[in-house]
Amino acid sequence: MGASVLAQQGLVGLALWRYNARNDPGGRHAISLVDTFTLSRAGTAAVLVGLLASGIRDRRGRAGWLGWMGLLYGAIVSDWLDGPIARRLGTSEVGAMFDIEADSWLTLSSSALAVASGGLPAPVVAPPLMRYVRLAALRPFVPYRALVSGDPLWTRHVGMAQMMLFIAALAPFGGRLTRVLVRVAAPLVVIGQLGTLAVVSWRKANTALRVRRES
Amino acid sequence: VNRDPGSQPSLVTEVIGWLGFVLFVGAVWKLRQTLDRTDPGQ
Repeated sequence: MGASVLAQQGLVGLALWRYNARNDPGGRHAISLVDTFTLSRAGTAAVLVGLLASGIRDRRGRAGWLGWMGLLYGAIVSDWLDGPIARRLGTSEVGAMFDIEADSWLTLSSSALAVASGGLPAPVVAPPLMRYVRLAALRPFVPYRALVSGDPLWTRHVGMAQMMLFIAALAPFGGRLTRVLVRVAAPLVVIGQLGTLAVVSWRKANTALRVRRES
Repeated sequence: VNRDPGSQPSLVTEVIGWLGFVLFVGAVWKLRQTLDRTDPGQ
């Protein structure tokens, strides 16, 4: 599985490198080291999908530890450090988009694994899925950049609570206490995240329509 | 491969696990702050 993920990511990298060599000799869109660090988050998401597809539901065994450590790497190490490293070393123009899309992909895959192996109810997959539905529905009216950025800080806190729920549900050492907390938090997180998506979508759609009317 | 869902880790294992998690998160947070503080662009 690891080899197939590596091969797949390698092919994507090779295709992007060849495309850049032909179309962007100045290197504005070239994939930087920081982009690779950000994209490795999508790689860990692929590992989670692999675990999901494998049918192994051993949260406390090797497979569970592999998934959980991967999730910690993606959600904490890569997500928290790629920004400061990008500010030091610089990044490509698509770096910010990689960051947002890798986050969303990791959230969706970890929610699915948290349902399958972590005992969370199926509705926890709804908010990460709705993010893509919202993107598809509003994309004709609102530019991509406006849709994925400029959200207030509290939306990030709701997102962190959501990821914390998945981390807790998949924790290989999680016992009765963790199970109780996770069961109580799951509906609150789903309602909070769906509410957040509704509020920010409403605001952005309204702003876009107002701008269109005025122009 | 799928373990018996009836057996649960003990409370001690659970507490040690979460303490380790908190330490890990704290270390990454500290590293992030250090990187931001020594940012040559600031």
